[in-house]
Amino acid sequence: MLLELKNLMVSYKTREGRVLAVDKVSLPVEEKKTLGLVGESGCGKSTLGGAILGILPRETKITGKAIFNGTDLISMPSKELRFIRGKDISMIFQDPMTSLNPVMKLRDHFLETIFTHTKTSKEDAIAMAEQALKEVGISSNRLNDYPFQLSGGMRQRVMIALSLVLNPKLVIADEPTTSLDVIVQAQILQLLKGLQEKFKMAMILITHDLGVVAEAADDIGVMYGGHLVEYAPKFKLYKDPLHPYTKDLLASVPNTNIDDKELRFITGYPPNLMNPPQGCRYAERCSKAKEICKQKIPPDFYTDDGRLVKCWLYGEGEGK
Amino acid sequence: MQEWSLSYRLGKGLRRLFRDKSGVMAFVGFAILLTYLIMAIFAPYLAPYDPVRRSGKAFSAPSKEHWFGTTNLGYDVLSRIIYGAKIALKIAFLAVAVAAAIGIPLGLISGYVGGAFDRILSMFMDAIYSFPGLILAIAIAAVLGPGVINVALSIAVIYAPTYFRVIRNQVASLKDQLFVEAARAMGARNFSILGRYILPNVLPSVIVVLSMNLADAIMTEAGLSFLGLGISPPTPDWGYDLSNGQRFLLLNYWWMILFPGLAIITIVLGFSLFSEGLNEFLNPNVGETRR
Amino acid sequence: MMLKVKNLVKHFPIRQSFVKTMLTGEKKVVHAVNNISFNIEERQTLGLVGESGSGKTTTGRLVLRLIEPTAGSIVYRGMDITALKKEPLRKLRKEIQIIFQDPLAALNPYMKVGDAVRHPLDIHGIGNREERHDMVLDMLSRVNLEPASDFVKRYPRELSGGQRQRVVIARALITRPKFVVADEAVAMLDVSVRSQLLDLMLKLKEEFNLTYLFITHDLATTKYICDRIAVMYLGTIVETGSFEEIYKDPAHPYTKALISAVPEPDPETKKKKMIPAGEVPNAVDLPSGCFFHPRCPFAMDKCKVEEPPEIELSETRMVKCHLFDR
Repeated sequence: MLLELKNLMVSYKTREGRVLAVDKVSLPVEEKKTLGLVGESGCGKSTLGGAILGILPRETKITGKAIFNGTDLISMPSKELRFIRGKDISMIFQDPMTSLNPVMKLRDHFLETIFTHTKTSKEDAIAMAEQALKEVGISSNRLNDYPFQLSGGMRQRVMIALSLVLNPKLVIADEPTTSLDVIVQAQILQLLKGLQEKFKMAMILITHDLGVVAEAADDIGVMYGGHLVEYAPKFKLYKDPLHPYTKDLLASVPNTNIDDKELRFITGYPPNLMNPPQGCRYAERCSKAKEICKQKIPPDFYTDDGRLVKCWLYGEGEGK
Repeated sequence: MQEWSLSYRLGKGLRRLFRDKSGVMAFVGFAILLTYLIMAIFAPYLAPYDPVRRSGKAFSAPSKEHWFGTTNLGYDVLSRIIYGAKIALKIAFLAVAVAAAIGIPLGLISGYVGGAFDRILSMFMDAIYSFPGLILAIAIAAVLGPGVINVALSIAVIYAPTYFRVIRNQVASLKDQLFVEAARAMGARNFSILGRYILPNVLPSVIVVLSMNLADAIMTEAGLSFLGLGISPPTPDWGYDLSNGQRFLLLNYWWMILFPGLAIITIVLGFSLFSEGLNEFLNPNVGETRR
Repeated sequence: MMLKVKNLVKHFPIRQSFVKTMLTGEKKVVHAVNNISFNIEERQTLGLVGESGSGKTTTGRLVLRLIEPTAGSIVYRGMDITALKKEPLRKLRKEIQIIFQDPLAALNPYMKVGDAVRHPLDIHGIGNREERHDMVLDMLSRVNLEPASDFVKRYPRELSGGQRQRVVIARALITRPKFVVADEAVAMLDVSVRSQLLDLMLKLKEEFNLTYLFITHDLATTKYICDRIAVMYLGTIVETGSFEEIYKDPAHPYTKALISAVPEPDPETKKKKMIPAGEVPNAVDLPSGCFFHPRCPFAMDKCKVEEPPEIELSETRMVKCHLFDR
């Protein structure tokens, strides 16, 4: 196991009050595999990714553990974490325009990343940058370009090249294709999969799009209202979803099956995490909710084949 | 906006000091302003002596009878400060009201209409704006002569471009907002788009500029009176008292200059605190989340 | 016929320096919409599908004359609205409406929900004070914002994304329009809420006998709501037909690519991917011939020089591609 999250909790303060964005999430990330983290906006999936890398605002309170290669990232002083961030773990963001510095040439983006973590000569560093660009299908003479000279898809390719240039063991990709058109999205997903196999790295793919994780992930964690409600290998999850939320969500995705024209949806809205419900976060929208669901947060139940489901339907009393 | 203005810089420094406590800032500022307002309104009841009549020995140091001492003519300094608040606030409010009445409508129209009209008006306003404020005010005041109305007018001229610029720039960007397009798609007339969709969105910054400018107006008025271009003596006025006291500074009559100076500083501080606190407070989209 | 659009063109001038214009002698423009024609029958829904830069949003603005067309005619119920003067156009706006993509941006942050929804009634002088108030309450409950008397007092920022979009819909429909442009109306919403809103739009269509122009980048959502689909690429309509026709058997190579690129929420799907290289070129210097030829795997020599004609495959089906030349 490359990374293990144990009871990770993240909360932050807003003007209206404290928000419990991530609530006791435990998750494994296997080596060389892709973990898809899906959920709707405000479910805590991006906060979770940020917590692992320690890039959340200082006021954020994080408890629990994130054990990466045997060391806990959460308790690590931020000085040491800096050496891991960008080298062993790197990040790809949703909007490449805002994460690339508009007044820096691509070359300088690469040099900055490389020199922060390694002692290489400038020639070697540029060779590394050229190689990384080649991997993502961009010609090396664009190193002297500024970000605005690239199209949206190319900028995302540059972001990917930047995140791979130091051979990280884990890449956290936060909605990497959300701001792109479908065809470019398909290109980027193909690219990411190819590179992942080639460089043998693990990936956490954070997205709201169930289609994207179906294509690109190996294991999937479903989040709702700050809870991890289900975790399972991809094929099992889509074929036989356990948690009512996963079921409802899968049913409400517009599919392209021509004969199926019935619109299914989940009534109501996601909970307000400023003032979360007492019991299961999904209880008020759940068609199978029982009395206990409204009163007590369900524990994490594990099935015999290692799946996780946070729902009272799958066990009474203690659970695990 | 007005980077050179003292209250702007003061405000920025204060904001750093108070960090996120915008409410506390606004409250402290408001408390100071309220104190001065009460002083101005109830001056006849609060002041121990008539500010323009001899009430004791000249140059007497602060004592039980004269808390802040007396001036070279034997006027009570405390009473002059209390009455001075009246003049200061009157001129400041008048000046800012006139400036806003000119700057806001022009800014609204100029930003919304755009084109050549906007360019020419902006150029004209920028020309006024590019003069150092106090020097322009001195020139106008010298032409108009002393007196409350005249001083207020000369201050208004230097602040009108501030409103114009703030409003115009905001309107120019607001008119491309989706909700303005939505209003046009509904069939709204220009007048109602300006009044119901654009004006409410610029109002918060107007209020902030308003309270910021009040501070600057008080400074400018004091400056004009200091130079003898403001209110004619013996009317109690902080700027005049300051310049008067300065003449006797070498004789060590410190109270004549300390208390008017303190009055000016605290009232400016009050306005700055209030405007910065208000600025944070009035921003509607703070803490916004998209779902 | 509700709407008949013929040879619609829109060019946006690019801001460039005066000197440059003098030297090169040409003014560059963005060719946002290039000569498109389509019809929408009464009480039907036409889906306009395309990627960013396809000109679909511009088309939506044009048919409401929120922007002025460069050329072409837009005939709404027998009346050419491109020729309409300012005041009659303003009065017509109660019949033709738009729902925007981003509901937060489409609502004035300083206007309460009740005022926002009532404003179109004020503008067009419909009803008196009390009638307007009742109409607002009625409309809000029709879009399931209940209790309506509670929602009228709230500000947009106090609502969730789905609720805000319901407010935008209520505002658009309160004057009982006949024709509504829905510009990516559900794109910014979460999956579970997206279907809710689609369902609502369908319900309202029945209640008010609406005709929609449904603009979207997402082919999958058109299935539920559209009677016909037009696929756009670089400002032209490359293919029209019903969802079934287009989805089962896409004719144009671009449509094929678009459909194959949609990630299916089913890992066991065996969809063949046909992803063209590169990205949509900019609309300033358009490609010659067929606009898709630089990325098209089936491009022939003819495609580079000659613009393909609109070829009717059946009564309901059109494709603009040389592969179907007779």
